[in-house]
Amino acid sequence: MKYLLEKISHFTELLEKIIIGGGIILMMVNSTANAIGRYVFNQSLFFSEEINQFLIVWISFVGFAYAIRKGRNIRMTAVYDSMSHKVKKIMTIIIAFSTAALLFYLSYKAVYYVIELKDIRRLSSALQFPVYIVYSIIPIGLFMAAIQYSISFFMNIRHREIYVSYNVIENK
Amino acid sequence: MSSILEFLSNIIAGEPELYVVTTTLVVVMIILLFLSFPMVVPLAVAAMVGLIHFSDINTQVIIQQMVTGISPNALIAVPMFIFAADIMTRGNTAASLLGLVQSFFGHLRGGLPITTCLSCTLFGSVSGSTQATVVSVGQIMRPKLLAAGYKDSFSMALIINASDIAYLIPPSIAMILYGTLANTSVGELFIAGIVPGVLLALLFSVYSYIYSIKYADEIQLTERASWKERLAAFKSSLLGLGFPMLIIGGIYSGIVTPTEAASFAVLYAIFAECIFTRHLSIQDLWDSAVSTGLITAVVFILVGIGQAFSWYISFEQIPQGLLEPLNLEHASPEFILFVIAVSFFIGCMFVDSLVVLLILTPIFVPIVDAANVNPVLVGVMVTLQMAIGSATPPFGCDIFTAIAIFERPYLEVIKGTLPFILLLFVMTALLIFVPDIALFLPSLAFN
Repeated sequence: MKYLLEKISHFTELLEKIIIGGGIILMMVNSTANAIGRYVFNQSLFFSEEINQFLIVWISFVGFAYAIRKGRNIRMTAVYDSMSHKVKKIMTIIIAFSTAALLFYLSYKAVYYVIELKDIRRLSSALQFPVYIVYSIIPIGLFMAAIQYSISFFMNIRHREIYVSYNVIENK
Repeated sequence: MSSILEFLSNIIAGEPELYVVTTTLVVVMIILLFLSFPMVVPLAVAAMVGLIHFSDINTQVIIQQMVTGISPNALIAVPMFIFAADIMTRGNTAASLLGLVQSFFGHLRGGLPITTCLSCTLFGSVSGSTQATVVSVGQIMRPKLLAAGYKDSFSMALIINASDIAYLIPPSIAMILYGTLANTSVGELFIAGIVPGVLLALLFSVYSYIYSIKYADEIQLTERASWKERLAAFKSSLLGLGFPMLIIGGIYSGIVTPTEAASFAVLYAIFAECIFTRHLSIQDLWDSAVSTGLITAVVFILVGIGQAFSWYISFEQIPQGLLEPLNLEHASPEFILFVIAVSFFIGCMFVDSLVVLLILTPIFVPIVDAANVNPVLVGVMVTLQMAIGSATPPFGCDIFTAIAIFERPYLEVIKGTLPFILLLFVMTALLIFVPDIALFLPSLAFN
C-alpha cells in the first residue's frame, strides 16, 4: 500500500513538473513567435493571447499544488518562529488541517464552476474551443493542493518532526 | 460598553454595515496572518466571510474572480521576467556586471559599497527581482566588503536596501502587477521608474562615500584596475549590458510591448548563458523553467485570490465608504500621494508587499481617477513604498532572504538599516513635491 502511494506521489510530482516547466517554455515560444510574426511576416497569431491565458491558468493551479509539495508557500512566520517546538507543531497541524479543508471546499466550488461553463457551452473567442475543458484543471489543482496539506497533517500527527509537506521537514 | 456589545452583535448577526464588515474582515485577516497561515488563506477566508456571512452571495464567485484575476495579458510578462532572471542568476551575468563596475569604481574611497549599489541597480535592470539581487550581488560583495574592513551591519543593510532599487528599475514585477490592477500602461510605468531608481542609487552611493570617510582608518582601499583590466571586464559584461538596452530600448521606442519584451528577454538570456558562454546546460534550463513555474504559481494564486477579495470589497463599496470622510476627492494631489505613501508604507511594514498591493490598489484607484492624479506617478510611489517595505523591519522579504543566505541573526541584519530608510524617505518626499523626477521621461517617450 505504502509503496503504491509513493509511486503515485512520485508520478504526480513528475506530471506537475512537466506541466509547469513545459507551460513556461511554451509561453515563451508562443509570445516570441507572435512578436516575430508581426514584425517580420506582418502576420500576428490571432490565438496567441488566448493560448497564453490558458497556459497561465494551468501553470497557476498545477504549480500551486507543486509549491505546497515543495513547502514553498509565502507565509509570515515572525510569530511562529518565536514559538517553542511544541507550539509550532500544534500550529502546523491546525494550519495544515484548516487549509486542507478550505482548499477542498474551493475545489468543490470549482467543480460547479466548470459544470456551469460546460452547460452554457462557453467557447473561447479566438479558437472556439470549449473553455470548460481547459478550466477543468482548476478543481484538479485545488484538490491536489488540498491533498498535499492533508498529507502534511497526517505526517505531523504521526511523527515528531515538523513536516512542512510530505518530504520537506522543517530545519532540515 | 453597550455600543461595543451592539457592535459585536452586529458582527455576529452579519449586519452588512460598512464599519462592521470592515472591522470583521481586517481582524480575520490579521489573526490568520499572524498565526502564519499561508498568505492565500487570510485573503480567501476574508472574502468568504464577506460573501457568506454579510452578503449572502454564492462563493463560486471566488473561483470565477480568480480566473479573471490571472487572465490579463500584461501579467504574462511576470513569469517571463522571472524566467529570464532565474537563468541569469544561475549563469554568470551578475558576476560579470559586478566585475565591470568594480574595475571602474572599486579603488575610490567608498568604492566597494558604491560598486555594490551600482551593481544592484544594474542587476535589477536585468532581473527585476529584489530577492534575486540580494542573493546574487550580496553573496559576491559581502565577503569583499568585510575583507576591506566595512562593518557587517553596514554591508548587509547596504545590500538589502540597494537591492530594492530593482523594484523601481525596469523590468519590475511590482510595476507589472500595479499596472494590471490600476489599468495603467506598464510601459510608461517602466520608463517612469528609471530616474527615481538611479537617483536612489546615487543617494546610497553618497552615503557610502561619507561612511567610508568617517571610518577611513579601518577601511582599506583596493587597488586601481588598469585600463587593460577594465577593457576585459567590459568585454565579459557586454552580453549582460545588452539586456537593459533590449528591454528599455524596445519599450521606449514602442517596438515591443512589455510582455513581448519579457519573452525576448528570456530568449536573450538563453542565448547569453546557454549558447554563447555555455555556462548553463539544457538540464539547468529545464530546472529553471520548473522553478519559474513554481514561483509564478505562488504569485498568481495570490493575485487571483486578491482579485476575489477586491471584487467583494468593491461590490460592497467598502473603499468608497472608508475614504469618504477623508474627503480625498477635493484634496491636493500632494496630499493624496502622501496618504497613499503612508498607507502602503505601513502595510508593507507588516505584510508581504504583494498582498498589500493586491488589497490597497483597488481601494485607491477610484480616488486617484476622480482626483486627476497621474496614475503613473502613483504607480512609482506605490512601487517605492513596496521597495522600502521589503527592506524595513519588522517584516521585509529581503531581510529574510538576507538572514537565510548570510546566516546572521535578525537583529544583526537590520542594525544598519536606519540611514538607508531615512534616504528612502527623502526620495518619497522628492517624489511628492517634484513629480517630474518620475514623469519627465515617460512624457518625452509617449507624447
